[in-house]
Amino acid sequence: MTTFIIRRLLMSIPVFLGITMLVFLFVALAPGDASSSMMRPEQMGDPTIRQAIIEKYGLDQPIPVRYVRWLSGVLQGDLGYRLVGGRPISAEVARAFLASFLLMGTALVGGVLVGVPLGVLSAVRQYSKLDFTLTGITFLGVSMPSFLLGIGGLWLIGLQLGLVPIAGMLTPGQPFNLFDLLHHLALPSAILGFGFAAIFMRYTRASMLEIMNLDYLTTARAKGLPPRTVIGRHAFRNGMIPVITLIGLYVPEMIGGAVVTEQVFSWPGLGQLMIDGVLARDYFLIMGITMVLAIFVLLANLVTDVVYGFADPRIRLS
Amino acid sequence: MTKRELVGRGAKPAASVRAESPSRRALRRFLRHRLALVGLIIIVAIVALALLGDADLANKQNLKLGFINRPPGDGFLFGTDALGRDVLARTLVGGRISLLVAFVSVAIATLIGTAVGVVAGYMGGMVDIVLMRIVDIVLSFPVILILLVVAALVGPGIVTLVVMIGAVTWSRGARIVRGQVLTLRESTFIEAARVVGVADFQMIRTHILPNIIAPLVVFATFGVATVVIFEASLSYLGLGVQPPTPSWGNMLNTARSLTVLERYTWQWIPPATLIVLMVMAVNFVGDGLRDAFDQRATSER
Repeated sequence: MTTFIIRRLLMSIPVFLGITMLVFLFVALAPGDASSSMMRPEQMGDPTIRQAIIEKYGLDQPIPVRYVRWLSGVLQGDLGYRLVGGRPISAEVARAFLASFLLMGTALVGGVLVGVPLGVLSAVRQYSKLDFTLTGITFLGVSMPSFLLGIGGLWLIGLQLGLVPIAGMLTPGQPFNLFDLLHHLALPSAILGFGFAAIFMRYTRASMLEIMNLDYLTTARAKGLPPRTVIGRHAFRNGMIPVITLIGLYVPEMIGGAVVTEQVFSWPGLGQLMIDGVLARDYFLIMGITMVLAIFVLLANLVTDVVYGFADPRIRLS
Repeated sequence: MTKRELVGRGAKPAASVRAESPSRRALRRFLRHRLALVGLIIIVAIVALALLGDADLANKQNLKLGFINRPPGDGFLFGTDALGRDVLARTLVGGRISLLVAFVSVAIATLIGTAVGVVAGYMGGMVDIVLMRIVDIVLSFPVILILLVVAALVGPGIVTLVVMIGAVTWSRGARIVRGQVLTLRESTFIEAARVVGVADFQMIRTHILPNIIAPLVVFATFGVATVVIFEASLSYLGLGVQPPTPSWGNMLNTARSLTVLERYTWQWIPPATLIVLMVMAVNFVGDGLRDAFDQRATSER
């Protein structure tokens, strides 16, 4: 298992470098002059300030040199400074990442806990009323982008019923209070979680249905094993393998969906920070967030593969 | 037990299946898929309505008192927005823009995906390894994020949106196509063609491409649903289609104001409903197509 994990880690290094190059080139080759975007309008005519900026950021260096300089900074956790306010980007990104991670993590755990068992249930009782209802709800959940559901939820639960706060992560001006946090977290995480649950339910159902027709399960049933054991132990373990892969593949899409949904609820996460960066054309901030998310996706893929290796011993041997 | 049951479920239809062409079989299966048909009808209806929309009416402002933020009623079936424009007309014309973005960018993505997939699968070796690594990298970015960055770099707009969505969503298609080509390459009829001396280009055109149409059509169909969501998301954030041009997404953008969200519901419910309807309908059709083309599912259910 250790060699498997190490090999898998080594394999992700070229992909990681590829991502850093892509991120860097994207921004380095951007139209417009990078030094202008860092100057205040009233400084525009001043060549000394421009020269100082060019020298400070090494903008006159060839692109490969700039890339290596930037990358070595990134590897040491230095993502540069915000254009506006000048705060270190790594600190801001870390704070926003935590907020996003809290939201996505809650939604993801909820989605798995709800979606997987319901998927199994739906497969076991195929063509029953329950199965049709669940499949119908799933279809709605898969087709409905979570930010739309968020708008609807905000309108109904936040504004019409007034059950939850309508924006942010904490009530401003109040000392930190766990209940307050959970109160703010409830609606956005439920809405994201609904979308995740729908995806998991759909794939769990499909995968379980495929497995349940296999010969080894007929054997297990013929041996007289109770249905609970047949489904819970023999079918479930194999049925989960493709679902794990799919969860891994879906991580980027989940992040994308969460970025937009954060905006609906003014959640102070990476989505919000990204939009700020985009609107202010703060290229270092954009690069920083993109890097952090790319690393997160790579790690998620890594974890997926490792879990996959645990679930299916054949993977490790090949 | 009747004779039919004794023969078994798969046996009898198998004979008739062999007699009809694959495309006819797919069509027959698709037509039997009830939800897919419903989906198709919804899509046709939405497209027809979108084409009927009156672009002049959609942009006609009326800033007179009583015409702004007017609730649905006489003269304005869906009410008016903050500039006194007819919400119904904007919804229809907005649909035209959203669907245009979806169809064109899916076409671009399918073209790139097919090209990359065929080249990778057919050439194999180093080319395959490099191309598939690129696909891995593209797939590991959240698409929305790439689109946001590009919007920041070159400025938002319909052309940016279409080109960029096309340029980042091809990777899944490339992977599907490559897989198909890899299997095809090992099949006997391709080997036979190679023995006879069919040139590479000819081989791809007459033997490979016709055999990967089915998965491509499914990919493109689901792609339309995805892109409708991308357009809506980006325009909702204000970084997609720019006003005054309406689109379903940027009509939702007004709902970022709590006043609009709470008091002028008629301004955001129509586009929201149409987005959900469209995406669901397209997904139904995609499911139907996938089942219809499925090689494994030869037994009739």
